[in-house]
Amino acid sequence: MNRIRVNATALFLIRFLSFIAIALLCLILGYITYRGLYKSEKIESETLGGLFMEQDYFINTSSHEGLRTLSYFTLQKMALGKVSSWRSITSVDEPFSLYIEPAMVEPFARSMGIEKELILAGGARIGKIPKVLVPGALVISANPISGMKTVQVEDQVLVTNPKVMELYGNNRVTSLSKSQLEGVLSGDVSSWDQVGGPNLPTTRNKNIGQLSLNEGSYGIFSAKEYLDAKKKGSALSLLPTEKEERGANLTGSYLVAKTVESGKYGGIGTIILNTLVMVLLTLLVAGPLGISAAVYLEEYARKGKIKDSISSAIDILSGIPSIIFGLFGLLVFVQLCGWSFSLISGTLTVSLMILPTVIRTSQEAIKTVNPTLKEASLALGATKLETIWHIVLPSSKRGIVTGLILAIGRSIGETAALIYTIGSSTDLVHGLTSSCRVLSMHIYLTITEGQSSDKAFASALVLVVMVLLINTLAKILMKGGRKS
Amino acid sequence: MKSIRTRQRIEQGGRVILLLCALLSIATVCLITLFIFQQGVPTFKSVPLKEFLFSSDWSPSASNPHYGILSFVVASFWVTFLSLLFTTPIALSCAIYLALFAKGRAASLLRTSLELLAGIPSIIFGLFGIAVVVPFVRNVFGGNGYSLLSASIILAIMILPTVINVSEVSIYAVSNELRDASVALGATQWQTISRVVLPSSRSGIVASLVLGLGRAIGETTAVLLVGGNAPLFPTSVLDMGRTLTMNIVTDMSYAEGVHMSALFATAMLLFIVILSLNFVVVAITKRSRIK
Repeated sequence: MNRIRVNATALFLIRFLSFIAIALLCLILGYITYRGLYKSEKIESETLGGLFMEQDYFINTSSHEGLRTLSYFTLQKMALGKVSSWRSITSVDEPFSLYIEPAMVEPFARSMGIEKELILAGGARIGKIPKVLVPGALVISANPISGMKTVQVEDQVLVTNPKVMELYGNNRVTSLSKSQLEGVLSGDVSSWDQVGGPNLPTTRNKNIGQLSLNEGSYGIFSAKEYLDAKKKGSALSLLPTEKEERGANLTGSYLVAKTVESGKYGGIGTIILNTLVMVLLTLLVAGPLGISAAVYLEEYARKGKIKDSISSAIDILSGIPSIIFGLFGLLVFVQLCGWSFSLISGTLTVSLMILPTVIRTSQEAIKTVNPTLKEASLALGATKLETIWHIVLPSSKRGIVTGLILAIGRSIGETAALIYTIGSSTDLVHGLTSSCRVLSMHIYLTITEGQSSDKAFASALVLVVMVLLINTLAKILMKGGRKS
Repeated sequence: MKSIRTRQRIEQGGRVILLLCALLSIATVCLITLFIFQQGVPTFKSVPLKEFLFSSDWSPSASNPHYGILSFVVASFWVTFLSLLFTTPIALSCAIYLALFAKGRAASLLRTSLELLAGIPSIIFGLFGIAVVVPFVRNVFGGNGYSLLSASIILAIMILPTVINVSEVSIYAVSNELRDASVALGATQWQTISRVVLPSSRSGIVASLVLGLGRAIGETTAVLLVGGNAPLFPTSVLDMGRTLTMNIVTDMSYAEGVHMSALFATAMLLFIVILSLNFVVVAITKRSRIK
């Protein structure tokens, strides 16, 4: 009986472990999709979320999906004319402009705690609001403007005695996470050392003037109160809190917008185009070369030394890691040919890399051509080359195309071979010798330069979808080929 | 109609062009070897081979620079060894399942999944590693998560399709008669698998593992993102480590002179290891074919 039980367990284990492979794939694809679609980066923010300023006017904006709130400090900068583009706020690179209705200038300046003249000097346009606004406008008006979104201002800040944020041993409170903030407010965190700060009791104080007297005290005040108290000379510190930014990550505008500041802001429109250009060029180089080599191996080469050594060279080539190809490209195309980090260097490197795939799949396709077809053509007096051109290649078309598509799939996700060959300019590629950033390199650089993990995931989702589409296309072609 | 002479000339010209295209693979292999060695060998003028291979002191920017890559060799070894360890049970199960039991929906689902898995670019694995595997290792085993262990987990997933494909073929090739004979003698399915099928497809399975090993050793981007990349001698698998490939990528951006050629020497070592692994695979498959 024992052996039957062992058998059952073993078979179950085999089945179970096999399906781990499926689970892993689902996990990877699911996670990339989830992070690609939803933002979940934690951002340090000076103001507390969910608490808004009371104001005597309405703030409207003419564009920017997803923008519902502004920080008080940002609005103040806008009022002073220190903001020229939306890109640090919404990631969309649009020029910023401020319009204020004449009657609203006074209350706006008052609530911002600045002089009216400073707003005028900052370049705000004061007067009747024009009917058609340029995108990127922010309008301060007495009533909400139809067709525009109303924006609320977060102005509550967490103020502490400066002692709380001082370096303490090796530790320092630099910001509070959401749960830490809740702990402090509810009293669960009774001493600052529980969140990495000095050993001082957390005491809440409703009077901002007394914060500077008690070393461990904190309070929630409006930004204006904080700034006013600072102006009067009180020693106060502002403790930032971590906010999780929710919302759509991969949006339509991300797909088409230009990249700004190496991927920190903006989209990946140009990068997608660069990727397509590189893939197309790679095909133009590797396709003819690979197919010709396959034709030679299948139709001309006789069994012997030449065929064997070509075959084993292809095997070796397909085993060489991409980083070695990258180094070769760096030595030959970048340095020796003097093309520097450019589209042509990267393309040629990747072409050499995918050559074995193209040759092998084309060989398989050519092998399946019915020999009687070839013989018939030869018997009619066609030369070998004519037979290949008119008979062999057309009838193995589908297999060859499938191989090319698989090769595209490989070249589109390549990174290691491109790091030292293709360059990293985010502009649209404008020539063979211009530096050109492709999607996989963009993801790599966005992570290693620490620009934004949300953006990296959005780009990754685009890359994954591209690769999956390409592979599915190849699979469909393969299936169709088998049927016919 | 073109004259016969023109057609002959085209025929001959075409043949030569096709031959040249076919010879391109040989040329590429030769050129890669030539260039990597030409750049790497000068290292040994200033750094003795023994120090290069057996010293773990890599300090290229120091006033008295040292170029010892032992730490990277050891890190590469650990990462590939562990990834093979993780991948083998899953890969063998998949291969056995696909070759012997697979029927219908479940099998085609598994096959499709493996094809998709094989197509996912390494940068995506790296990203997944940073966001999922690194925190997982940090929470379960401690340390900061960027470690050789994380790198080998990612690698294990990456080489899974390669290992499965090759070993499935060799398991499938075990003749039905052998299996039927075993079952007829009263052996259970598991006994048949463990005592008949696996032993007779041993060489194919070993070849698949060696092939996977080659993939794992040469992988760069994914391990670079999760491995920690500290140029120190790894004392545990939870340490941050730097593999041979990571060393090449990291230092190449600023290397000059001896440092640069030391990096090419690292690539040389990698190249030699991969070539030898390829030969091992060829030798194994040839031997099993002769049998």
